Amino acid sequence: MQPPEYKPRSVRELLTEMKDTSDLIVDLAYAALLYESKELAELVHRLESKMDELMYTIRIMAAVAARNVKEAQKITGILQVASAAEAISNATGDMADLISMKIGIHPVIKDALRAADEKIVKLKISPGSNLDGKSLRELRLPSSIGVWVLAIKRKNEWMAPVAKDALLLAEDELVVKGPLYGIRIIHEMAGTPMEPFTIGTRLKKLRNELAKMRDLSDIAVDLAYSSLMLGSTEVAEEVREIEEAFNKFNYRAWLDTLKIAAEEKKNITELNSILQLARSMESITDAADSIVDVVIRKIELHPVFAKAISESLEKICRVKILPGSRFVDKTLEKLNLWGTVGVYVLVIKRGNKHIITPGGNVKLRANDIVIVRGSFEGIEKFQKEACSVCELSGATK
Amino acid sequence: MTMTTYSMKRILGESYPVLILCAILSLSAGLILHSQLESIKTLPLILVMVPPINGINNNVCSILGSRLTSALHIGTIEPKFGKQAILRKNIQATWIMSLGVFIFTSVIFFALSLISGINLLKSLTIMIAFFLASMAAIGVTMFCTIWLAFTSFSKGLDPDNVVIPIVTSIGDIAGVTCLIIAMKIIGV
Repeated sequence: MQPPEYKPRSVRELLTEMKDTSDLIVDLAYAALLYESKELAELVHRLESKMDELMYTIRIMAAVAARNVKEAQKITGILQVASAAEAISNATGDMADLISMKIGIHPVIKDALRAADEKIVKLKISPGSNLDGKSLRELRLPSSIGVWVLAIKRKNEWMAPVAKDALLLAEDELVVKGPLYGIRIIHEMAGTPMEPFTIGTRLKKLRNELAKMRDLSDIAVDLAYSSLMLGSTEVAEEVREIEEAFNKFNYRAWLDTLKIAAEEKKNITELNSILQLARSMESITDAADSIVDVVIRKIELHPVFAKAISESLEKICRVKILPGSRFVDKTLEKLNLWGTVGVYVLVIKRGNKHIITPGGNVKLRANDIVIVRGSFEGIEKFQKEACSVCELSGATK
Repeated sequence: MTMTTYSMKRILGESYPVLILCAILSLSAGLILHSQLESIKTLPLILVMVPPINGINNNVCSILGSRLTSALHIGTIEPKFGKQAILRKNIQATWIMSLGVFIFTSVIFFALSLISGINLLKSLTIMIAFFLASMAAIGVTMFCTIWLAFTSFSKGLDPDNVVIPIVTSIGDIAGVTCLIIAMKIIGV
């Protein structure tokens, strides 16, 4: 690789960009699989090589920045996290390879991706619709319906990452992610009917395992970053637990796939794609584990972490629900925080108990501490309605 | 690209331009001192003041320069003047550091003047003049240090080879000039 030209960019800026890119590239890789889109696979590969360049640059800047042993110890932590972000992007590259190398994608993969909590959808904007001619800045999709625009296709070219103030035009194709509720609304806004979210009933067990694995690997990464930002070994331990849960599903998914292969003795390439996907998701979860390793090792965390993560696109924040908030004693299902405020509840901490990725029937109580993920505006709204302030600024900007 | 990291050619190539600039700057400092030969003859103590004011000034600002370039690379400071907590803390620390050392040296000069037979009032004036000169010199050098650190980061120059040598040379000029101006104003 040619060394890129020197640009004055600090380790902090580079780390923020690496986190944003790794968040984005995972979702785009799933989109590429869902739609068996060669173009999206190519976009993933493009972002992957951008990630290599970022990794190269952050190594250079980190090497220049260290001046003494103590500082250097803290900086190795930064490089470890950067490598993890790069490992995530490499894993997505492997997923995209399934498409580019024309390895058949097993239908259960698509079913699993559709069944996961977070939906990823490709849609087209109709002329004269509510999205036509609007800028993302004025639409505020993440903080109102929890939907993020990941990529835009215009004039036959996919663009990602999308600028904060990008203008949407008729005939643009978008890749978006969000909760089902928000995905429905965005289809209405775009003036295109939503393809029915039919999830095949074949191989139900395997499908559920894969869907669970996708959700868990996502959450593991988010929590890993939050443990880093909060400097919390508790959250780091949770990531370890999630990884264990993931590994169980992973083991079962491999067994089930191999059983099917042994029984059917056909479609072996397609079945192989399931194993490849499982392996990629495992690499993503492993990356989360190597991020929390930095926290658990108990070397003092570099202050750059909190800053870099708080400046990334998707913020993570710890908010206390105070008595008197409208959230108290309501179930998450009823509150629909993801679809209306755009925040996703990762963990509820109640006393000494942690509820990881609480289901819809869980009620919020006064004095609960919740760790949420969302846009800056969404988190701000959430804090206000929780009658609280962010305990550690995921949203200081 | 191999083997060039510490090659003789690179060390010389990078250092010569900077060192020549430093030589010119330090020479100017010497010339400024020379131009004031007459006043120095009346108070040779000024000559004793030159090494401490330059030495302390340069050391304190080199420390600042090297801390700043690290902070810029890691990203705790951004390369712009203006409100930044960590930049402010660094500047404050540098002030406090130099304040302590210069108060100490000022007192020593007060004692030296007394010992060398200068009367109390004049010794006091000399002490104050030295103290003010050193504070002014630190101010000027510190500003140049911050600016140089920003520039070396934006342009990707080696902070050790560029910032520190130039800072020390600027410190020489600032030290000598401030010392002479202070002595003139107070009328020593």
